Amino acid sequence: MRSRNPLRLGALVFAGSLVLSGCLGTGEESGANQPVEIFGGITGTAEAGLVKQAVAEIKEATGVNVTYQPSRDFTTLISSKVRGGDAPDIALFPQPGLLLDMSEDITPLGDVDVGLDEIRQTLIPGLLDSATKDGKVYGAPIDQAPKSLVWYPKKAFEQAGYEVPTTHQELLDLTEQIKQDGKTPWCIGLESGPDTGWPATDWLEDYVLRTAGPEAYDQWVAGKLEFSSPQITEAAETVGEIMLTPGNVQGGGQAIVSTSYGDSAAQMFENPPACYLHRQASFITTFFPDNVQQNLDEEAGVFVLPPVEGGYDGTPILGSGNFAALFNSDNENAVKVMEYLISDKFGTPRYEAGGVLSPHTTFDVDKYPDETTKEIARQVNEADVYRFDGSDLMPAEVGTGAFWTGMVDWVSGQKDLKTVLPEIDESWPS
Amino acid sequence: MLKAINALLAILAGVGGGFALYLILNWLVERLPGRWEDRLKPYIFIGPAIVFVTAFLVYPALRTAYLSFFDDEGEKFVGLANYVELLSESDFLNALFNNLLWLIVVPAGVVIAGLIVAVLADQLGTRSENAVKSFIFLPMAISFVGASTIWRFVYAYQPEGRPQIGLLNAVWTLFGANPVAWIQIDTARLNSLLLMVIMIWLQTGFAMVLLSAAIKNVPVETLEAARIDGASDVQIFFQVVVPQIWSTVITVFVTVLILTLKIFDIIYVMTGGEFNTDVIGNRFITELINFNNDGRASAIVVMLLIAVIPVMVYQVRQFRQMEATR
Repeated sequence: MRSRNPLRLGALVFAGSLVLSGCLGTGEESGANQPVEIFGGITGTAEAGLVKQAVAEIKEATGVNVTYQPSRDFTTLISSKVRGGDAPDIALFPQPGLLLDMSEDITPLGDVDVGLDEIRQTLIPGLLDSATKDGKVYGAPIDQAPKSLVWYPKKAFEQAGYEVPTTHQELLDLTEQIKQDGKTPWCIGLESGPDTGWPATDWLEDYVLRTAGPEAYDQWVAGKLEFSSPQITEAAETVGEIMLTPGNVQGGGQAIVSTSYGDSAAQMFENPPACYLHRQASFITTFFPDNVQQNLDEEAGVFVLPPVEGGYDGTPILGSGNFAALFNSDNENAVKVMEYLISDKFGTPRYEAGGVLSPHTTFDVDKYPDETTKEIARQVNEADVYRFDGSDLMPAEVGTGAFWTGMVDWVSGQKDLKTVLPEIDESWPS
Repeated sequence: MLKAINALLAILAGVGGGFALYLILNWLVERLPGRWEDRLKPYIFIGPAIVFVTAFLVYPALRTAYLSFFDDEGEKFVGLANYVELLSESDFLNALFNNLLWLIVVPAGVVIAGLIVAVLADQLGTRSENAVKSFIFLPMAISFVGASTIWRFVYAYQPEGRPQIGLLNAVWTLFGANPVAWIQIDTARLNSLLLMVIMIWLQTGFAMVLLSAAIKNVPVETLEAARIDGASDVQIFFQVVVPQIWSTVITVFVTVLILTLKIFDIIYVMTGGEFNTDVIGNRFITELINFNNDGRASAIVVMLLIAVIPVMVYQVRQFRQMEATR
């Protein structure tokens, strides 16, 4: 006898393993208790805490069990998750361009009952266009961060007798004045891990809006106006005048490229200040030192990047924000959460904490926590034009590829503008 | 908690299922007449393995090669366009060149460093030898991403006048020199070489362990014979020891070479491919994940695959020779 009845043993083991695999729980409940998973790129200790608060807010308002999973590598992970059939119920995209790339897997907001018509009325005009393709809306903003802001260390700035500039020339004069005083005018940092370079794209976008104007900006973002065109080149030269004039930034281009954007903002509040001016979005306050964050109104000043004489006649605001997209419309609770997330009711605790603003014009400005944020919100509501961050709307090959690399090559001094701009044009997919 | 239970159940079911499958197949084959039983039995046992390799390795590889002839969505046939496009882009050629450098410098560096440590440690007493070896082996336990994060602090740069937090710049400025943005200097590919140092640092321990064992296996008689013939220590090392450990040197070299071919993490964390440090592994990730271009990403992998073939052929030959001389 070779073995004692191996068939019976085999069958037994096989049956046993079938039973075992049948025990595998999916961890999912169905029906009214189905939990909702939100995946997003909003991270950082302060911000993540606020999102947790927001999640609690959703739980309270909708009664649904919501989990928020943040990742610094959102851009990379969301695409592998969607490809792998592991899409979250709802994702928060920092880049509407990426969102539209995945439109095949996303439920258009018009197909489900999430109150699309209501938010059309309340959102800042133009914001929804960023997530619209072929007439269908695939996502809606849950927050908004204006980027055309220049921050300064209020106490030191006023002590030195500097005044807030209202025109581009005044800004250049102020820069010169600070240098004359033997100090460094600007702090600029482009380092951001694998995303290094994005702050420089914001600079260029801000100056395209100011020199060439919103119409040219729209054409440029859509790929109809080349990077190497005279308009965009002029805007880049204007940026270069501030960034790359020797003495304007400590350490020059090489230091700009290797300093992280958060660190460069905090340097303003050193004693004595490492610099007096820093252009960055409203969310940068979370990178300020704790004592500054606690007394934001007294410690930090802010003004809108002034318009350029002879350029666009008016004040444009460049902004960004997170867009929510619904992947799993079979989950009724996800639809319910989505409706709340994109309505003007969402986020009050988060906006009250500062850093980000509501994308809805109906949001009560007085609810913002400090005078600084209120002032920013007023400026945004008064602005002549609001445009979404262009690099987030361009195809990924450009917006998260050649544009970043090009700006880094140029600022670090490896290549000049004449080489860099046509190279970015070439990367545009045909 | 649920996840842990799931994982445990899955392992039990998987292992049990596999075991049961073999038992049943074996039982079936044993029912056959003797001659057929002998003929079929090997295939019964190797069969499942072949099925798995085909399903999870061969099929995806062929599918990738197929996709490389299609557009970004994998829908329209474009012939060789992806390859032509890539090979005419200066960025990609640059990445190829960097890869080539990595392939030469890193395995050679690892072998040399490992050899030096192995030889020197061999001169120590057993206890200190073990201590030194454990110490050198330590980085092996660190992931590439972790190691890169550590080395970011070594190469960190702050402009003149600010406190230097980078180790290299701290030492550099000690002698009165101005701080240098090491990672941005692509003259003579200095920045790429500095990134390679990270990998050499990580892999030296691996080379050391294998080479040290090989050196200890060199018969003492051959060394004594050489010494009697009046050979110097250097001569003994290069003409007696090295030829006898050569096959181990090749094994280490090829293993590290294959690892280097797939390099991506260090570049991703340290530079993101900026400053002329890009390599094809990183290009592939960028094309696939960031740009969603399946066609170009596939073409890059196919080129990588073709590049590995000669190495594989050489290694298999080497292996056969070793078997033959044994």
